Amino acid sequence: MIDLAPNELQRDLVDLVRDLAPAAFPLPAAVVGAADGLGRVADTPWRTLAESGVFALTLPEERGGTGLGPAEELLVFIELGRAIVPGPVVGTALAARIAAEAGSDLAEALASGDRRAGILVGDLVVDAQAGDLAVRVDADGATLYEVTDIEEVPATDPLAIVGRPELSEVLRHDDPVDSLRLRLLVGGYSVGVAAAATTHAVVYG
Amino acid sequence: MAIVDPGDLCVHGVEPLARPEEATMELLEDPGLRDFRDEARTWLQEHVPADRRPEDDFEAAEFDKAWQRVQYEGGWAGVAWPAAAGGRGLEPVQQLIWYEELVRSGAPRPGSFLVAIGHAGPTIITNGTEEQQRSYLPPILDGTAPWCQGFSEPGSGSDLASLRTRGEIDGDDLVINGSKIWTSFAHVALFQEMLVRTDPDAPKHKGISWIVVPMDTPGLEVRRIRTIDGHAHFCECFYTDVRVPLANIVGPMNSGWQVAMSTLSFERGMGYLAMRLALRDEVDAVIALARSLGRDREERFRDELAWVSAQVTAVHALGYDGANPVGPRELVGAVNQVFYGELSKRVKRLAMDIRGDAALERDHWSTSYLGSFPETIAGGSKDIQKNILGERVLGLPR
Repeated sequence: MIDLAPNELQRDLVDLVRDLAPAAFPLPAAVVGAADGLGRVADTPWRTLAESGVFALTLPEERGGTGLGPAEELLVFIELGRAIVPGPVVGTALAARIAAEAGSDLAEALASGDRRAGILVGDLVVDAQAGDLAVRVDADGATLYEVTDIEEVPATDPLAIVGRPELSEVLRHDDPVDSLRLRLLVGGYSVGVAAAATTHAVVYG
Repeated sequence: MAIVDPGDLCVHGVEPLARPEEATMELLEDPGLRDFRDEARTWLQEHVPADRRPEDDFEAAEFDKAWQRVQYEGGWAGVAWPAAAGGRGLEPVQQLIWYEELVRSGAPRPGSFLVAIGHAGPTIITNGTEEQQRSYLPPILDGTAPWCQGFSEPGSGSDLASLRTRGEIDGDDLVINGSKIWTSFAHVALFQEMLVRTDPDAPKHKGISWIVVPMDTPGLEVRRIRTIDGHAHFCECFYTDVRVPLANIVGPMNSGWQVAMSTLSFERGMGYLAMRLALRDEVDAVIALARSLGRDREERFRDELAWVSAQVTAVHALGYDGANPVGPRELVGAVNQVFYGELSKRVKRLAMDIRGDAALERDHWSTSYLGSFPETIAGGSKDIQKNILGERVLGLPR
């Protein structure tokens, strides 16, 4: 029988992120800021997050990663969701992985927090600004772009930046696993957010 | 009891949905009511403001006042309110017809007058002294005085009777200390209908009084709360030695719970009727959205649109029942609250699903969706409503 319970290493990882994420992104700040839109996540907390390795979990060690698998990455993203960490966490981790597999140095830049990558959905990009990267996932793989310009639009989610970008293609990665990985990370993050919402509701009640 | 010709419910510009045949009623054969409806429709065609209600919360309140004033000057404010209060003194059926025509005309919602028109006014009509009626009712109808509702407290929402804000008698005044929360439009209201604990030693339902608090009373501080839909008309109210004349208590001292129950029955009955009637328009708008995006033939949307269309017909019928209940008003109101709230959320969620990726961008559908989250909480949590239904209608054990 397969043991699905997190092992010791995975539990340690979860504990690490559970301590670090709320410290870097205190919830009251996120909630108060949300009133008028949060804007771009500041560099300092973003780098703190990056230095903990959350964007490089599945990168090989020679690219500054820790060589872990999708299970560890999922557990970490549940914790990022639980702390309601704003910004392009999913896009950046996904793009770092894609860049690494395509042999691009952008992997290190994304993993270290120097660059960020939003996600392209239809003709919109979420959580990217001019100069950032953006990743579009399709059934066969993913394409990484640079956002050369953007026209921001009001976002339904006040914690997100949404806009119509102008794009310049950086690299293409053909692997159907990319779309599974995107869903895994978004799913994990969403599970965390849902858990946080439940906790906050219970605390309120 | 259905008292409206279903043919009258067609929404302009959108193909009417199937309406139940049997709803044609003898009441509408009454030529007097036909004339009343025609008169209302004609007046609305000529007077409904062309401008949309402003997004800014203060400008919106001014807009609400102006629209209420126009209705008053046209003789349409308080259709079923007593003539002495500036109303028309007609029957609930005319009030209902007026609401239907309001919705059909696309007229603005009452906004910051919802509390005043929907329940503060009716509560004072039912429970207030002549003096109180003279003081408070005309400024509601003529668009001078928006009201707010100081009922919920931090820690006393669903269990409203546990409220702790104190009112102590000092001479001819009540001195109020405590706080209220989720007070819509407190930042623009002139008066607040407020529940305070006036006898802390009595059982919790028996030591509460219902009092009118002028919002400019010293010691009363209002703090706005910004919500996810971008608005900030939700408020917190803080009371520090707020001194209000005892003469402002409506109903007997310490009988506030009974008065509040009548307030809530208005809120859950006629007060929300226009909103319930408007939900059909929203369903029709979602159908139009699906058609414009070519998504109405997709099976999941087609099925869901059919489902919400059927449900909104039921909510509509319940809305009429709530306005003119055959059974106890409170119970019909509870059924209404549950069905309306759940359906309304589903309709607004459906619009976002139909928009697909474009739903990331905020437009009026997004605002409506984000604003729908509290619909199963506002005016009494639906879980509490279900308890009421379980205990009082189904006779389930507590």
